[in-house]
Amino acid sequence: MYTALLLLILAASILCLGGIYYKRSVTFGLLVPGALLMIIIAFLSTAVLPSMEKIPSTPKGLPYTEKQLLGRKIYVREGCVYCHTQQVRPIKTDAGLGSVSQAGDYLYDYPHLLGTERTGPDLSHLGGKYEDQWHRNHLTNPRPKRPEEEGMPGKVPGSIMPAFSYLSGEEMDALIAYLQALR
Amino acid sequence: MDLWGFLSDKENSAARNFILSSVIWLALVVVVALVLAIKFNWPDFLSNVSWLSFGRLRPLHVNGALFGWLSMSNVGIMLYIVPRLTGVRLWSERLGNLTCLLWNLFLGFSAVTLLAGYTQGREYAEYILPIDFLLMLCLFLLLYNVFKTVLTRKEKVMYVSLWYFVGALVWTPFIYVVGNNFLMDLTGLGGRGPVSGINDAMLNWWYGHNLIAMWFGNLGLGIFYYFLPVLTRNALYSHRLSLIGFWTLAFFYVWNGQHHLIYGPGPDWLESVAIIFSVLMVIPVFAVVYNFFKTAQGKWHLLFQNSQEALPLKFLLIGGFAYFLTCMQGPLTNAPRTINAFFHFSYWIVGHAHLAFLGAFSFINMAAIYYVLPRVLKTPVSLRLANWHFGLFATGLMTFLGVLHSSAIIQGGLWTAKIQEYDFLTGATLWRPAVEHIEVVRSLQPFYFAIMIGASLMVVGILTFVINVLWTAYKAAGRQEAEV
Repeated sequence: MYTALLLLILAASILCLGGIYYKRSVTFGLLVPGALLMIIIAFLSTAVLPSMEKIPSTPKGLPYTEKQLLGRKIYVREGCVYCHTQQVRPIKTDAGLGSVSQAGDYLYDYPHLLGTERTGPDLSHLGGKYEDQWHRNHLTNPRPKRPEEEGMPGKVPGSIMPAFSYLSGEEMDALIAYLQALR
Repeated sequence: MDLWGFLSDKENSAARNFILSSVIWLALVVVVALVLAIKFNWPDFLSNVSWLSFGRLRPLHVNGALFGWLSMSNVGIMLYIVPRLTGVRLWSERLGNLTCLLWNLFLGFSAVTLLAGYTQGREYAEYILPIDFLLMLCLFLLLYNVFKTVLTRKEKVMYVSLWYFVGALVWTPFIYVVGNNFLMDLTGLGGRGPVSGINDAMLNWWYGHNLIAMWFGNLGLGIFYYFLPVLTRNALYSHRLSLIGFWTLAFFYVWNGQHHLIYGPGPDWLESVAIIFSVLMVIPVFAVVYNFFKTAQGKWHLLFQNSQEALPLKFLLIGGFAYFLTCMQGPLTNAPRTINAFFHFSYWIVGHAHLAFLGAFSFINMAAIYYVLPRVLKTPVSLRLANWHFGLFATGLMTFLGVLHSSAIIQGGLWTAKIQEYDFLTGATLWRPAVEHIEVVRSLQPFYFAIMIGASLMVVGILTFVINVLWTAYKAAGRQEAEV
């Protein structure tokens, strides 16, 4: 694999240097194939080569049930991924968030939901942390709205999560089933 | 009126239609942006309605800004520049106008489907399959039109802007097809792409990263390289430097995708490769930036001149400087592992994205529009409104970016703060987060408020720009009718 990678880098370097030294490289006939070749080399080395690596299975990488899959669709549809990550890194910043994520954990994830922003907390190990009722309260409206809701499980003052009270009962159940499956 | 000129054969009509459409989408996108900024402070604002939920509006904001405002204005300005650099008319104005119509159709469909919750759920690749196909169609029509024009050119030597345009049109369809899971089901919801999990993430970021430079960056740089000598009235400092910049960009940039997943569960060697090439990006960036500073030398005082001639240059100078800043962020603060560990997942990345798209490329495109529009419509824009636009937009942007970047330092600091615990039974040392995540959210409240203030200033500035452009077009249309 590393040999292939080095050869591909070498090929791209030659193309690049050739482009720079051959002043007429930017005529239409040379520009188009040169540009295409460059991107195909990069695609082979940074997208195709790594995906040929074998991914060892892990205890966390389990297939989802029908209900959990429906919940996952709702997670995707409501854009939860924009504020919640699902990956724990092997560094001090992520220490104490749970076991470090392995490639095998995501074997059944179509599409991936790794996330890019941590406006809300990481959800890799959310399952089993709270009761179903906590999630139901939290998802309906994360903040206490009326005095009697103060201190209710799942009502978190200061949370800025959107309220998902428009989800149907079935959708809510499925979403909670999915969240509880994140262990 | 033939469909508001969407079937016109007049010179520059395609450029005009693309530019006018782009500013209308810009107005929509910034209003959505303001709603999002308000939701950070008052999460119950416009709440409990599915299509006004944060998770539905955010992809509309991102994709609308990228494929609506930036892409359409980029294409409009490109269609103005290409005939001037080739010495011939655009191969088919009518095809250009048809592309513009289809592009608007594509954006309309995409806005409706995203609000209805139809999404592939992968960042920058949210569009569902039918919409992907519509965009591909638009891209191929555009490619055909521009390539035909370039191939029949009278000007033998291709200027650097044309290389970037041709490059963008060659690269983008390939990147888009690879990155968009063309094997998914039609609704995108829970559809199975060809690969799962970490491989899907790698593909997603290979696409997301490359689209930014190879489509937005290349068109933006092409526009920048055309207007830099035109507006500063200096000759381009070095053509050899631009050659180095072009080919090294084509080489280095496309290997960087994995730096979005540093310390992630993907292969470590791929991360290292991405980091090395990210740092190498200083070469193409310095080629552009050195050319920029050398060409703009002696013209910086025009930033403070109040005239129609100096107006576009002001925007171009700020855009060029923002390009320098955002491109330095990549190799210096985003890619190296130790710094990335601190800033990953924080608002630093949001700030970086806005500095690139709002600071660099929007400023460059606004400069170009202030130059192109009066020439295409033969009507001057309002200088008064344009000055308000410049002041409000620049002030708002600086507030917004300053607060976003400083809030990222708070986030990274609070996340990294740990309490060390010693387990006497097992002898293990444990790290526990010193603050709960909700405390991080609470401590960011003042920042969210300041971000909203900066955003509102920008939105008012941008709406001034939109009104200015549309008012100029309205005046031009009235004048044309009077002439007939």
